[in-house]
Amino acid sequence: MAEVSPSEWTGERIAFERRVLDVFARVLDVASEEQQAKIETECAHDVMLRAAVVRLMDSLPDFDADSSIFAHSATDFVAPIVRGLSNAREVDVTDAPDIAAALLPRYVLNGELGRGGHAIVYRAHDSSLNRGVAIKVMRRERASEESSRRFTQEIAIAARLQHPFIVPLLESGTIGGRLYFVMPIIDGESLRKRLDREGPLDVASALAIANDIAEALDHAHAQHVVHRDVKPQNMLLRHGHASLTDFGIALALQVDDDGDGRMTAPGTSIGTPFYMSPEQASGSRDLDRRTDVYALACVCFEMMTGVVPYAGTSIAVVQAKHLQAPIPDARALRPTLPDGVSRVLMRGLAKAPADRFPTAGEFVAALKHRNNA
Amino acid sequence: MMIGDAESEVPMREVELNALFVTVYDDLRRVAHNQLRAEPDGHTLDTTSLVNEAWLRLTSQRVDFTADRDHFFSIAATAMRRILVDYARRHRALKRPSSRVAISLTDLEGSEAYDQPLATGIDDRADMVVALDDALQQLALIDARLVAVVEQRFFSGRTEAETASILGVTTRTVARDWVRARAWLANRLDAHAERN
Repeated sequence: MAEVSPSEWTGERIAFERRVLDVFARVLDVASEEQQAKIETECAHDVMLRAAVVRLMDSLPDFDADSSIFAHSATDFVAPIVRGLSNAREVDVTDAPDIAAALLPRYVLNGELGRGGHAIVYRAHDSSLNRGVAIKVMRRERASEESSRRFTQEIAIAARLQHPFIVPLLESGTIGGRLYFVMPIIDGESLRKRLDREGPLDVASALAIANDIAEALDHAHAQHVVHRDVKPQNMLLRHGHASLTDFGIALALQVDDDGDGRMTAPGTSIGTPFYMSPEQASGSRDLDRRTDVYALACVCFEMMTGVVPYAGTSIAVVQAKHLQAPIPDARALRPTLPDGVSRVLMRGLAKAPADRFPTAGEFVAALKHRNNA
Repeated sequence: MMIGDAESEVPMREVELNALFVTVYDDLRRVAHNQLRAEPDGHTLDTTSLVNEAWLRLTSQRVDFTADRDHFFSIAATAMRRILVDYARRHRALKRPSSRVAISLTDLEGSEAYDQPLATGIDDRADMVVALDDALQQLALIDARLVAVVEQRFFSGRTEAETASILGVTTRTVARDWVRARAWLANRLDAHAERN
């Protein structure tokens, strides 16, 4: 850009601009019909000065034009920028230097992997074990002591989960009141990406993925850990198997809302409503394994049909459908699907937890059984 | 950056001014951020009451605080300017194409929004705000009072009468300065737009 920075303005230029503004002030002080004459008097022989003053006069009628920044209040003018930043990326000044410092000496931050509505993920090197890790740092600070305590208990259990199809949580803690989670970096793609690319999967592939995820869930459920956010984004595909990631993290988002056992605004913490159980959609915090079974059924429905069971234009609409809409028949979307498979899916999607399969493993076993029948 | 009147009778030391500015900036940014981020509901963010409340918080928390109210309002208006301009600068910084690493770790909540193009006009707005700030820095070399008037009227949402009281000049002077400043800045912004 050719612009001369203010510090490079010469004293001469500054003096000239002052003269222009002084003359302009005197012109403004006379009645409008006398202003033209005033300009001529003031700028008698100075063509440059006269031109500059006239330019200022000419811009007066433009103040209220919508294209003028001054036709708006500064905050109104900037608010869309702020909302754009909020939607797209972190708005608060990224305190990566603080985070980097807080994670030392074990973890050396060396880049950013991505950003989402709730977290920023950094790439780091674990110097103790000499391997790459991903560190997910929540954007919001922890809410209450109570929610913090509850979260700490559950995350401690989640961190102990050891299963081939569970992406381990290596460590968690807080930095300046914000939670962070350390996880291994995994090469592979998420089921979300695969579905986006391929659409519905063949039934055998879908069942293989469902089987791995069900094993992971059953293992966690046996230790009373509920995932709460089972969705294709959290399923990673690699070496022919699927792994579930982000155990315990959904709770971190949820308990942040408040500490009294109900989410203030159901769904606001969770990014997507498409896999949310009716009990979650209605704001209950008292979620058990059957919430995860429901979400897994939604994922299976999507793997087999290419669409989620309940779509909608807003979170509220989708939540209402989880609560009230008739359970869809997957066969309507994929007529070649065995009728038994569709009925098992429908039972997985039952509104009342008691009507669903009691475990993820039983749900997937029934799917496989009906597919072979 | 211009802060208050350099020739006031009891000038605060620069260190104190900087510390106060940082305090005010942080305070206002925190409160303003949530309101700016919220979807519009027909209400304009009332910067004036935001600043007034910040003054109350400050005076109730800091008994050692010596700056007077008008002085504080000058600082707060400058802080509001900085807060709003910082958003625009950050938008421009983030807008630059970056080599995004494919995230196989997990898709992130909200990443749908990340991938969506921002509403039209935002880029232009950010450019205008930054150009305005640049122009104000030039204007500060010419006439610091005009900058103070813009900060009060535009960034802090003050009326002419309030601005006059804060700056210790007549309403007539504020009215005239406000016209002069806008005309001068509009010219600079036009020149800027033509260059790009």
